[in-house]
Amino acid sequence: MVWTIAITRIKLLLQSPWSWAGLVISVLLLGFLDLSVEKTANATKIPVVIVDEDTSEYSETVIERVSQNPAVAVSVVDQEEAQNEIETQKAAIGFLIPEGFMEKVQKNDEDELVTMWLSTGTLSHGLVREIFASEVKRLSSNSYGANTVLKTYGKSEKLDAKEQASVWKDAWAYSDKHWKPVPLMTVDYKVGATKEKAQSVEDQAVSIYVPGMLVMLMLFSFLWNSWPIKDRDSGMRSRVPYSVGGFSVYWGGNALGVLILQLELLLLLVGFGWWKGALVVNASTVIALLGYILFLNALSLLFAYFVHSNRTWQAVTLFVVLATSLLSGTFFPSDELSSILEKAAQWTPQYWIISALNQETLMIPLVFVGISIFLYGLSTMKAGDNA
Amino acid sequence: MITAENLSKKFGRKEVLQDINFYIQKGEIVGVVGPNGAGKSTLLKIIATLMRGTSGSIQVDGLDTKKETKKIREKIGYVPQEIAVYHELTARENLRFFAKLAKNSSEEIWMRRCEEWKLSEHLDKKVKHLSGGNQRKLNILIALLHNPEILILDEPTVGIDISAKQEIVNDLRQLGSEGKTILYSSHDAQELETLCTSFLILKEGELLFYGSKQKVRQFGSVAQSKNFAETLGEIVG
Repeated sequence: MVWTIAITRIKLLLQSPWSWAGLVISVLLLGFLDLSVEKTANATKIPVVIVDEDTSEYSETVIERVSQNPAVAVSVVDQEEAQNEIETQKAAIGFLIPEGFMEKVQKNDEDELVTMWLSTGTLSHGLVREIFASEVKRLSSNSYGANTVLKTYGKSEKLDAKEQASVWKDAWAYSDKHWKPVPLMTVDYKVGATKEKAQSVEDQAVSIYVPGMLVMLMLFSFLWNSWPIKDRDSGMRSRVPYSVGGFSVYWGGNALGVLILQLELLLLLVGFGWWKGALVVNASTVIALLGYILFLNALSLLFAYFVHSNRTWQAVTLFVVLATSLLSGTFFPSDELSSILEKAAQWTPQYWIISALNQETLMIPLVFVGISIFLYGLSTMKAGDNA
Repeated sequence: MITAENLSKKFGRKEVLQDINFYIQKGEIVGVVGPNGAGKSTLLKIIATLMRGTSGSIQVDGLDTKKETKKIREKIGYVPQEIAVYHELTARENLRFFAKLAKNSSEEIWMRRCEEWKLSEHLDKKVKHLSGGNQRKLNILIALLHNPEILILDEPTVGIDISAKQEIVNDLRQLGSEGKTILYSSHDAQELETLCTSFLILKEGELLFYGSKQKVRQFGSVAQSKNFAETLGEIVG
């Protein structure tokens, strides 16, 4: 019975070209926007040139890690080109990693490890120097740690050369894994609604795509859940009580139909985001997003119960989607708002879902599910009483 | 079949129905008549268990509408004033959908009814492409899917042409001849005269008259020589 109602609701919703638009165009639109923002973001990054004369494992690690920093755009070039780019101010700063870099780092010899060239007229030298120094220091600290462990451990255990190499490697990896930058080497920046440190690779996954996806999911949840208003207008509400299962089955079946469509949209958005590399997909991301769409479904259904005309519903949809998206800090950090608005932002679903995505916690999705069950119960009861 | 005892309904301070009493027998076709705001729709909704009276009671086949709602709903088919179907689906899809939702529905029966009501050839058209008359017929057919004993229709012929009205009235007469009890609200005196065997006349929430068609003419001191429609018009005011 519930299934029949759900399938019919999907059929009805897909009769409208807007539903197809929701499923296809929203994905393409987000992809396009993400691409545009990516280009703009690259243009606003600090251009950095690096000359790698060492071409060792360590120098490549430094280059790779610096490149992952969202604040800089790294080009690996030869010395002549690097100096040319600095002189012509195409690059703000240049680094030369000389031959023997890896050996010096392993021996914790930090004297003249790297040569730095600065262009004139840029204010960003300090920031880039810090980013670069942080990565070099990380390798140096790892080596220092590994050397110390070997020195202490090797004496007591009398290890052979092979075992010593293994212990050194393990200690180095352990130190690298637990690397935390000291305050002077920390660059604070904000991702989405929460403050994060510039250390996590995952943080870079939060692009315009994820906030855009959250907005789309909310928008279509509200648009698709306008059926209670249409049903009231068409007299369907006075017909349904005579069906088997009564009003609650009808209400639940329709909500399920909309939820299935929301899931399809989510699948498309997550799939596209994953393919584009704009979204890190793992179990906690999926669970968080499922909790989010369940909550949106229940919330929009309850709202639809209180609204009596399509025009009002369109206004409510626009207001809720715009207000919560702007306020929540989905597109810009909420702490740039006044303290009152910042506090209000913490009550928006986008704020919580962004927090859930950043923290990879199951607590927030579970809260979403709990609230959803309550909202479903409330709307079914209220609407059933007036059916 | 349907008994009202001291039924009253208030919306806030406004009393929409005042102390209504009547008894409708099985198989009667009752025209519920009255000017706008007389309480017709409210009365029909209370009988149909879609609304509750403020005081008094309504019993359907001996069952109290307040206590035995579920059982009563199995006996009643309600046709709202609006065309309560999915306009984006075909007539057949609508019938199949509501048949699945209805208890004891048989495709054979509703297909036969479609043939009798000349709807068969339009079953695969989307409802929004059907004529007003056929939309109204479908609206009634869906209320009949669970084979109710009582059919309650709230102005089911609003906005359609005379020939379509005539067809619907004939179809409803056929239902009456099958033994169904019908409560029919309308402003069209001619179709009421053709269809109904008795009348329940409401004015400003009060029951002005309940009785057979013959008794309508004898009611009060209104002009004896006038035709039925004029008589009804004068009673209603």
